[in-house]
Amino acid sequence: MHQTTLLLRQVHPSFVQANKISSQVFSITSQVFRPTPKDQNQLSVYNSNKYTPQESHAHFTAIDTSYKSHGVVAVSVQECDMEGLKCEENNIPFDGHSFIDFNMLSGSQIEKKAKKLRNYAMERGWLYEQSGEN
Amino acid sequence: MLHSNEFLTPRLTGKRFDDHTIPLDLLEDFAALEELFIEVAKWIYLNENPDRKRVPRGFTNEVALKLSSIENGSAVPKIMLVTSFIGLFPNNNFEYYEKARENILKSIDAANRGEEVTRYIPDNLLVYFNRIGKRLRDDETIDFSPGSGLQAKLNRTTRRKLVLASSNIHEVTIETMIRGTIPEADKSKKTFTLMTNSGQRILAKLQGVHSTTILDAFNSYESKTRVMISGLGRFDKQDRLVSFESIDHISVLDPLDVPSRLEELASLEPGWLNGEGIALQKENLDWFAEIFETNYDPALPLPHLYPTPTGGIQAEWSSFTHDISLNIDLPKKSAFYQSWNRISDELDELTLKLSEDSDWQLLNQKLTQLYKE
Repeated sequence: MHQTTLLLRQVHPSFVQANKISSQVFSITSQVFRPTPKDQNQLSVYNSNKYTPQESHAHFTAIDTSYKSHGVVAVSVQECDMEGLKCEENNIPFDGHSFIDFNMLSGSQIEKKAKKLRNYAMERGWLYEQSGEN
Repeated sequence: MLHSNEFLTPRLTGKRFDDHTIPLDLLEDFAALEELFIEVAKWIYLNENPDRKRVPRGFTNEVALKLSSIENGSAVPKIMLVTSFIGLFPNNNFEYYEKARENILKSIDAANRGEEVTRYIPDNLLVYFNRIGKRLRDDETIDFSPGSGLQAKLNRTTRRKLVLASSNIHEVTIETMIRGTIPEADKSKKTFTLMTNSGQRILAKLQGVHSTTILDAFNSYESKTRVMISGLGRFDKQDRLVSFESIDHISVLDPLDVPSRLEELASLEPGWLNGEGIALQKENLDWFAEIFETNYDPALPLPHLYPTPTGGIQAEWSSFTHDISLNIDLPKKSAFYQSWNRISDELDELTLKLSEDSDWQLLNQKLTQLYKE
């Protein structure tokens, strides 16, 4: 992955509120970039060199019928580097799967980094947004 | 010439009556009570006089229930039965009104005891209970016979039993308040549809002073404009709101309206976050809605609210210089506050007890300060 590679992140519909359809203004929670207990501090993302945002969305929602994504946002490898977060492509469980590593950070630092990544992503805007969602 | 007797001294209990007053909107219920007394008295007369096809002339003329005063405890309206002389003769049908009172009290008592209410009031007259007590709230009761051996206590539960005891009535009228969007409005039929946050559609009349607000909300449906409607709703036997009988108030809600958002979050099921995610408990959300409403400074911007995978909620604010989050542990009623200064990169963090008024004041102070910067 290069510095300019985008790390695509799926946004659950409950993590979007008051999304204004007719403008670029939107609000997502910092939790989009906060690992869940299941992630074990490794936040799953798609490598944009192998998936377009739309392809990543289609792939993700096809994994299981219960998987939901309002749309796709992204941070770059460079932005993660600036925040001291390592990014790695492990291709497990599928080719193109990558993760942002939050290990070694306290809960407080994880929340702060999540806020920063959320802001980078919001600045970039939706890369893909499923119509009719939320 | 008028004749006046003390007839009823019901006791109203509930928060609204603690100051020994009765809200004006409950008075129309007492008007319906008067109509019920007259109809039950007529029914008793005809039952006791099977040879008569109708009640005597003047039986219902100049008969009225009148409120003479309100006494303490919580609120005890003193209701008089006022009758007039018929020509030169006094109204001698008073005994039937007294019997009607006994039957009405016994019917409410029967509803409380789970017994047959139509022994005391005929099936067709039970419809009056759809008007009496329709604006009673969850914590309110009208005890029509305080101190007696009867359980003549009318509340939401007994009202419902009385109304649905009729074979002809399938809906109970209850004062209600509901939030939702307006996806449909039909000017030709003068109707509109309110869609609740859970997706239920409720038909209502498009008329009166509220039409402009309703049409504005309909026209901005795509922007998820929400409204709050309060009025008299009709509920079916499953206690589901099916339509509005009348609308008292309608207001357009802030896009970040907290109770609306909490209603949305209440519908999340276990595993909502792609297999992960603990469902939020409704009683915890109700607690938060109330404590937020009571303690959050209304001058401050409303937060965005999101569910957390661990069954809590996260409130977020964004000022010119700060990103603020409040990660709320609902079962523990505590919260982790973090504000990050985007310019200096500094953090301000603390743990708050949301059951403490002083901690809400601290949160209000911190947010006020951040929004000034």
